[in-house]
Amino acid sequence: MDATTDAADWARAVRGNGESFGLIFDRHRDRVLRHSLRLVPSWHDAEEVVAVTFLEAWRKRDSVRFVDGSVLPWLLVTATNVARNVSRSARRYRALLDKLPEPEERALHPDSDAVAALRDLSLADRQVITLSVLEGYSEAEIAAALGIAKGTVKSRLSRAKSRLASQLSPALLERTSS
Amino acid sequence: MTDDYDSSVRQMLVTQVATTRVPSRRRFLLGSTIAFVLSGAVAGGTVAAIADSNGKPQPYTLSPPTTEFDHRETQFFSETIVTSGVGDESINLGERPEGATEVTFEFQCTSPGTFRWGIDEVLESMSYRCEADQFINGKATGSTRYVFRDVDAGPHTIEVEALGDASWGLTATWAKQLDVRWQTNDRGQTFGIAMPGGATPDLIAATGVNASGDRVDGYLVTADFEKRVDEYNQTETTKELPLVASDGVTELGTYRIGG
Repeated sequence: MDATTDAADWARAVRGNGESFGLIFDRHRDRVLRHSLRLVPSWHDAEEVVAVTFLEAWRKRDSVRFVDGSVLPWLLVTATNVARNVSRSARRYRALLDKLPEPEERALHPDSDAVAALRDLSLADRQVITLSVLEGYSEAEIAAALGIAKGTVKSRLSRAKSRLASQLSPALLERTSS
Repeated sequence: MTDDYDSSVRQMLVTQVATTRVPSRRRFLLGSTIAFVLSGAVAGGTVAAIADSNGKPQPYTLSPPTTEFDHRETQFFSETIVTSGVGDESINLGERPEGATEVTFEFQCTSPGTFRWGIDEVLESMSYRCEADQFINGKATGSTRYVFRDVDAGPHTIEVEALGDASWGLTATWAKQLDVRWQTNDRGQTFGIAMPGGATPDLIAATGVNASGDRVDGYLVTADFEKRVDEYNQTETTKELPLVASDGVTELGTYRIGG
């Protein structure tokens, strides 16, 4: 249902219908926030990653990729990119973001070993590992979201898992969803 | 997310989308993509001031229409008003000339900002937004053409609303659309605009951008254009096509579907 609705709402949004973009935000903000909380050290930063991710989606609306009609994988990839350096990513939107109320700061559970290890990966590796291991997307879906070959996804996944393997229990890497 | 923050982010996004200039959908519906021809009256251009990236004013010429407007076969009934301004302004169009039915209107931002316009007191619901990155070498890379249709007899004005005292230039001409006629080139290809009933020539007139980033009128191979329009309507991602002269061969620039 999300996929069909995403495509229809996106088509309306790119024609200037702001409310349709709002509906896409309503549909995916929780997943993007949950994803972001694994990638940055504070709730405040995660909230900012979400806002910047959706602003980036609008700025890059001509190049947004849909996977089976859903924009969520692209949003998660973008959130991963934004989370890598929140302050730099947010710089373009600082004037807009500064007009927002201060987000409520909430305590987070200490990072698990897996989350801490993720932050040591390169961006390319982090993109594929978060979509695969944390979000449960297939290699074909990840390839579509990133605009790269399926074989490249396979090799990056293999490399990322190898790098994580030295720090984590193998059982963690077999998780397909969070 | 906290409710206040969440709703504020949502409102910010909705506003961003609603105030961003979007490509006119009519460009991508073949029956109305029309271009071409014309007769025209029209006076010479005028110079508007445009700020470069350092805020220094640079000369910029906004030209009146001379052979066509908005891809439509059009007859002009007045000299073109060419003017520029900063912030909100009202431009006097005078009395509607005998025979004219509409006002053709080309708008060029000369600084980043959000603009609206309308005839008399009624502003159109759409807005036109110019981003800072649309300016290359101090020159805005886009303008937009618009037609106020079925304008009543009597005196009229164009109202421009420019948020934040942004600067702009415009041309406006009293006009009327004419019947469509096609011509044929040496290769036997018909060229012109689509008929009101939807029939299309081999080469359909369109306006694109040349290698210097300037607006240029030319033609698209209709079959290629239709295919790309279908793709665009499926994906909503930008497509580009070569813009050619009426000979169907000489490349003049690029036509972009979707922005």
